[in-house]
Amino acid sequence: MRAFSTSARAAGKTAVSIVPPVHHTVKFRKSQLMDKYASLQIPRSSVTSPKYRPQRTCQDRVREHHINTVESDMMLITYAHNQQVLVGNKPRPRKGDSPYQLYQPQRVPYGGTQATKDIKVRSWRNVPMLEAITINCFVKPATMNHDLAAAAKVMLQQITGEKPTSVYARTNVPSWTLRPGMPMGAKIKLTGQPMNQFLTTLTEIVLPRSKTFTGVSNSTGDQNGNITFSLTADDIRHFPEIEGNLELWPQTFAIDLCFHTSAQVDPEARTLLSAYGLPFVGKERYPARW
Amino acid sequence: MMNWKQGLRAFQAVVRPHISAAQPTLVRAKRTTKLAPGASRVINMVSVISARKKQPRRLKMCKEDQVRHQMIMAAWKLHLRDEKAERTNKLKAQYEKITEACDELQKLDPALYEAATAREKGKRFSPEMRIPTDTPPRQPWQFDWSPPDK
Amino acid sequence: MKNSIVRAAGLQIRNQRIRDAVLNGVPKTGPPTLRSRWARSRYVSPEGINEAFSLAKEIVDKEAANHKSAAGEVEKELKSATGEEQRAELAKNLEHHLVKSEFHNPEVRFNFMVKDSVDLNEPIYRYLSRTEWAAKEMLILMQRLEQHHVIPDTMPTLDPRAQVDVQFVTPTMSSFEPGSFLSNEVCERRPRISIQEFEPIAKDSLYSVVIVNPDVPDLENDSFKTLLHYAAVNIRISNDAPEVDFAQATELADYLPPHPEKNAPAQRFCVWVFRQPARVEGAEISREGFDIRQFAGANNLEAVGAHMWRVRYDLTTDFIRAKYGLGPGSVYFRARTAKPEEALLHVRHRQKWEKFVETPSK
Repeated sequence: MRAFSTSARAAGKTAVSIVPPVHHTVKFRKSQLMDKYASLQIPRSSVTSPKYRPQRTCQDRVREHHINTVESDMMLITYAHNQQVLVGNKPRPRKGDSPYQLYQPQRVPYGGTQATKDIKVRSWRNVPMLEAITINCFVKPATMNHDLAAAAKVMLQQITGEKPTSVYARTNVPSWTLRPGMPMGAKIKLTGQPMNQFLTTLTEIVLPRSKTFTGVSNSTGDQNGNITFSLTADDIRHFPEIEGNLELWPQTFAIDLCFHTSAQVDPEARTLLSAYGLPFVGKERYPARW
Repeated sequence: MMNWKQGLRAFQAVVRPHISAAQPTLVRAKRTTKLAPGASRVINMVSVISARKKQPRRLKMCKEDQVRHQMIMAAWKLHLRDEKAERTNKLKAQYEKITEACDELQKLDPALYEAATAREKGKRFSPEMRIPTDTPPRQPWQFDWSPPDK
Repeated sequence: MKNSIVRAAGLQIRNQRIRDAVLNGVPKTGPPTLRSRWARSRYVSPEGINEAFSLAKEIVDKEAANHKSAAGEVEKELKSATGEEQRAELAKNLEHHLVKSEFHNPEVRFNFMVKDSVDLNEPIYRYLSRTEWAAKEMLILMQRLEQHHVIPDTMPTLDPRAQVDVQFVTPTMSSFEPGSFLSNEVCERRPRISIQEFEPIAKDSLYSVVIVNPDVPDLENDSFKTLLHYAAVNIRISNDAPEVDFAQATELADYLPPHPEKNAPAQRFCVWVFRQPARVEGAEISREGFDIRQFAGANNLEAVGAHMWRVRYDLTTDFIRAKYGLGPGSVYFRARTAKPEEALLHVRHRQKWEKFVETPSK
């Protein structure tokens, strides 16, 4: 509800209404009117734009493999005849028979506190594919030695070829000498060609030579098709970029990997990842609806 | 945001025993003496995470080449569009055939249909499957390989 | 270079050397658009651009040919179509295909980039011009119209479709942004107005231009009233002839220069451009208390464009008032008297004015 300047204070809002009456038929962002942002209005496909990047500068084996082999196989594997949309567990609205319920939150879903997503009909439009890989490197000893966080950042840069971002502590735990704002490591989200490059390095060079890695646990997964596992600090030494410069790396750091797939349930995500050479071990559990 | 000099110092903290012999002193002017090989490698690695690397230099083209480049990008987009349409159409045709076959089977033999359309649990691609490469290993397929018993 | 599609001569680059450079690659002597010889000799094209261009041209030409044939079919349909709605739909479709058939043509893009031989009768140039206008100028116009409450103070709203450009006769003859403050002397005479339509319109379509000032103090009602400063109807505009020819138009009210009063708030001068369905004959209007909405409604006018500027009392206002016989005007000031009407006329100002009129040496 828009407030007038006199009544706004009483309504607990800013003194001046910042929403003028809008009559015009054209919507715009302010940056479109400002000369200093003119270069940002150029479409990024134009070579004159500062955002221009060349695309597909090299062959992408994983992408071709996905298109030539995995995609149609995955469509067949995940196919279910005469499918219906499986509606997820949703928060339940209140009955609305009391005026006090107007501002009360909805009741939690039956059988849990979290809402679950609908499982949509699988078709040629939503064949599961690998969308992104997130690498997170959290260095606990960085509380004592802040430089280790920077070293972790360089390590991620070396094994992925992309620029990572720092992660900082958010909580205050005096007994661990942890304070908010301390650099604690680095993370990076890989998509596209760099992701595929990392994936092949991981499955063809690193994991086969790892002494501890036996396979990704079948019990991992966040129920939305994202599979997570971790690599030890010793496994990192098998990345060619690190292995070539081993004398520069007296210390490496363990990383957590999250494979974001567009699969709607975890078993399908595991099936998909097995096509790229990731082995799975352990007992698998299946969701009630899939 | 950490600049590359801080990054280098941080990095040296980890690798100090190796670098301490070379100890690069960072000077603003043009360097006259050569860096130790280890130090230059470290500088290379650390400079990649510096802010400077975020923004590559823009290509400067004359108007003719700008127009030519614009058309090339337009054609590239059209090509991607056609490629995607072709891929989608193929998948769609396959999907429709699968549906058709299942419908047919349902009519012919319900028992067989039940078996054919049951959800398969623990489905995995063969572990021998490899992502194809232009430079395969000398022994591309280990025919006598069998998975180790657990 | 294969040139499978026949293109209109108006879509080609006029300069043959530049045309060769665009279609066949930059020659060894360097790009002809670079002025200095030094720059030409230093220029290096990106590697592989010529090979990529010839591959790209095949794809683009194929796409253009598809749209061209689609346009031919729509045109045939349009000839046999009878219903008004169906015809409008088909005409829109035809325009779309005609634009798309030249959309990636490098010659068109070059001509538009350097603004040379841009023929607004061609759908593609109309489309590109509209896109360029809509990316910035139109947004600024809409922002100012709303910021200064031109909408809804004059007309209720505007769906902007024509680019309206206003120029006063000054040594620089430059256009100004909507909402700018202009000196009273600058806007003394009727401005030059151009109305650029981007939709295909018939040759010599009819338009009206109205300039109103909604900020004239209305002392009786303690409010403001509208004064008409200019009105012309039956202006002939074509896609390629956007300049308003006032000699051919019917002037309902001749131009009254802005003459704001001292210490009164700045006055908005709102230019409204309307599309006319037919000729307007014998419309009667009065300057005082002009109702623009009633005028537009009575004559079936459709607002397609607008512009505005603002004027405050300045050093030149008295001169303009004297020159056009507009009287001394009032001076407003904060008055704490029981009878505000007595305080309205500033005695000293009246004396100064009389002196000013006696000796018009300025």
